[in-house]
Amino acid sequence: MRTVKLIKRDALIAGSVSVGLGILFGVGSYLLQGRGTASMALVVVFAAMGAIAGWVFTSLILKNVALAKGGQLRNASVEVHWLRRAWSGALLDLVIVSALGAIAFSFGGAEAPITSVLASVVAFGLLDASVRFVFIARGES
Amino acid sequence: MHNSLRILRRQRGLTQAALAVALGVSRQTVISIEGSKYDPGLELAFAIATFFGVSIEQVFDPGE
Repeated sequence: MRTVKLIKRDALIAGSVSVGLGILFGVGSYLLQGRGTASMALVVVFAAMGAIAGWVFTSLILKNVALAKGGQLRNASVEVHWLRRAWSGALLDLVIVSALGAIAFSFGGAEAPITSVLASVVAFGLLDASVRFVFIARGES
Repeated sequence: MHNSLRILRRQRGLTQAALAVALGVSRQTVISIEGSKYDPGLELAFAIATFFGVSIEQVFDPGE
């Protein structure tokens, strides 16, 4: 019974963070694009990225906190191993995407506000790590 | 890396959840080790060996 309550509480916290981060990303992308010219599709994509990242990472943090309270080997769990792999892969993806983006911008002569570019890079990294984590977890469960 | 965690656990009549609680890790960790999908670090490997009262070599076999 106690476990069920804990899980419900954790789901509530993860859900709240997920919604909060989703709204933050959505509003942030809307403001960064400029109020009059913002693409709603992009706002929705950013909001979804924030929500997914919020859910995955909050769930993982809460799980590790629960493990830390119950035992001593909180960093030995396989979930931490998966997270490290996901972050490593996401970092490599970020470097590749940034390099390709820099080349495309240089040779294509395109321009974009630095805030939009940075926000996109951060959002991409979070989403990439989240998706990678989910796929690793599913593949090895 | 091959291991005999599942055999040792069953010999003692433990569930994966009970072993996970005893070791202070997630149940998924026990599942992954038993399925040879995750090689634990030294800290956890020693904890497992100590818990079952055997040496690490009796739990984990590096194989060829």
